[in-house]
Amino acid sequence: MAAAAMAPMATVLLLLVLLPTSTLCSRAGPSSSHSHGHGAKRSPPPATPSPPPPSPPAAPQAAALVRATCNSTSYYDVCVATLAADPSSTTADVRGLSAIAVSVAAANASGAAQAAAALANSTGTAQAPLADGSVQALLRTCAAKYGDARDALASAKDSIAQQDYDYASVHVSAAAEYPQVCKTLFRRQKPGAYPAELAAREEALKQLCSVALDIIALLSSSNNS
Amino acid sequence: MAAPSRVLPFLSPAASASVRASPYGRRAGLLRCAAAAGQAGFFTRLGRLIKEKAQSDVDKLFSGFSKTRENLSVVDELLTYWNLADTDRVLDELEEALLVSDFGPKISFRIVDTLREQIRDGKLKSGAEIKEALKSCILELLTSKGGNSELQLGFRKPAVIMIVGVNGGGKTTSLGKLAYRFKNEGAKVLMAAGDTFRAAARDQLEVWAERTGSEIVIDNDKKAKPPAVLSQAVKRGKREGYDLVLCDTSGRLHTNYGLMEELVSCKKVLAKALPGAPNEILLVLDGTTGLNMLQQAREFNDVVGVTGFILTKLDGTARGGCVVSVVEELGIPVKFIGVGEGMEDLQPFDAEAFVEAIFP
Repeated sequence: MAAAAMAPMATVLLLLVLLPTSTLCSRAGPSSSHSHGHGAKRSPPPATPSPPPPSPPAAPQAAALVRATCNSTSYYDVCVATLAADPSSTTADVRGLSAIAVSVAAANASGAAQAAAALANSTGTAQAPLADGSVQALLRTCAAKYGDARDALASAKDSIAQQDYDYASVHVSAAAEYPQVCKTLFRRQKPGAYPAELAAREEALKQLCSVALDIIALLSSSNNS
Repeated sequence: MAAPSRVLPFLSPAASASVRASPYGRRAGLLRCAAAAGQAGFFTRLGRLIKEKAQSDVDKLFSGFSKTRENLSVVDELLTYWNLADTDRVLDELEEALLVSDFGPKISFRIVDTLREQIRDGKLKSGAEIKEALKSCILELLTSKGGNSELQLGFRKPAVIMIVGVNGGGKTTSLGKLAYRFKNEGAKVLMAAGDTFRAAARDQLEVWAERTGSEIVIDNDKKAKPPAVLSQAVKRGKREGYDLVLCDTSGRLHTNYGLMEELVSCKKVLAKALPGAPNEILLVLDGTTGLNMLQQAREFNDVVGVTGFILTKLDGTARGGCVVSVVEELGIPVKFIGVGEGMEDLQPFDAEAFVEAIFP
């Protein structure tokens, strides 16, 4: 049991030895393309020639960084699947990985907003009409709230680019909370009518935001130490 | 003999009349500083701060909440053609409009339930009456829970204001704009760069000191801890007769307990350097984070005891309802709101003017 518990720690320690510091520390080395938002600060070119930056991590090292990073999150499988699905994760440092996680969460929120709007505009079938006017109004509110979540995640991405990791966390937390309003409204006004598709998307967004928060926390702690 | 009033009389009869005539209500646009009569000299120098704000300030507030007002314009549409048979549908939609503007479920439901009860009891018989009741309800929430939006600047010089909040929320900018406001009233202001963690924050504050003509205390020793810088600033403020010391602090995430503890040290050090300090601990919250600010506010308050809020970036968001949520939830007043980029756009909060700005 103890050995099993030690395994993730050993992986992280091994990574610290193997990987160039630039890949682990968001402050050093080149950031991934994801982390250069419009507010990113670029340092001026050095006066004297400096050695070339370390090359991006090789594929096995990159996969190891993804695994080590995901070990710190509450949803390991979701995290690995999310990051591995983005090709840029192979060259990203932790800051880049956090930007990927936030981008995926934003895409999810955007999809949920569109789904809620589509449900509000559809009438279902003749046998099972989807919504009376009041349910459609609720769905429009849900679409607005998922839109808020998407906007909050866009702000989080900007904050990551500017290395404002604390505020990135605040924005991601806000994004995770917005869909709650949708569920609460349905529970109050139309109990039992909350669409299964939205329930599933809400849960997915919650998990993605949790993953993003956990990765950003790694950046915050390396920043504060 | 009656005890001298702690709030200075601040309006001439002419000014009073002009305020009453204002569509924003008698209290609109007033920033009052509570003070002991014995310190009247100090507050005389801040005289104009506690007088009627210029009409342009109220206009700024009005335009600053345009996005929230747009979101809530549906309320007028709903109530224009309201009839009794339609009550449930109209109230459901009103509830949704409030939620979209980030009033928060708890408050939205409470407001709507209050209105439903009053309609059922026959107290509200028209759309116009419902709208007035809605406004009264929100105003009541703001004034009963967060009644005292006056700055409490204590009894002796210097008054000390500590600004706390998370990096990125507009903390240093708010401090600079506060300094500008006070300097305009002839106050002698000293800034303390207590955010020793980020060099950029110190540089930013130095720029604000220059822009506002304020003095600044910074850490010359790179290893200086925030409490040491703040203590030094208050001692200098006392020694050199400053009216106000504005203390910046390191922004920290409300979940970072280690760093939050440092705020407690800052507070203790200020009290040691000057009994009664800090007079105000103002938490800066970014309006664009909506209801997430509640969690931040709760945790900062638990740790350091917040006396008031500065809500920033409200002009860029349709989430003005969070102003009501944060006051109602925590019973702490909003003291200032940021409704624009300009130096003058940090406005003293006035509940009546706010309600008029979102429900004209």
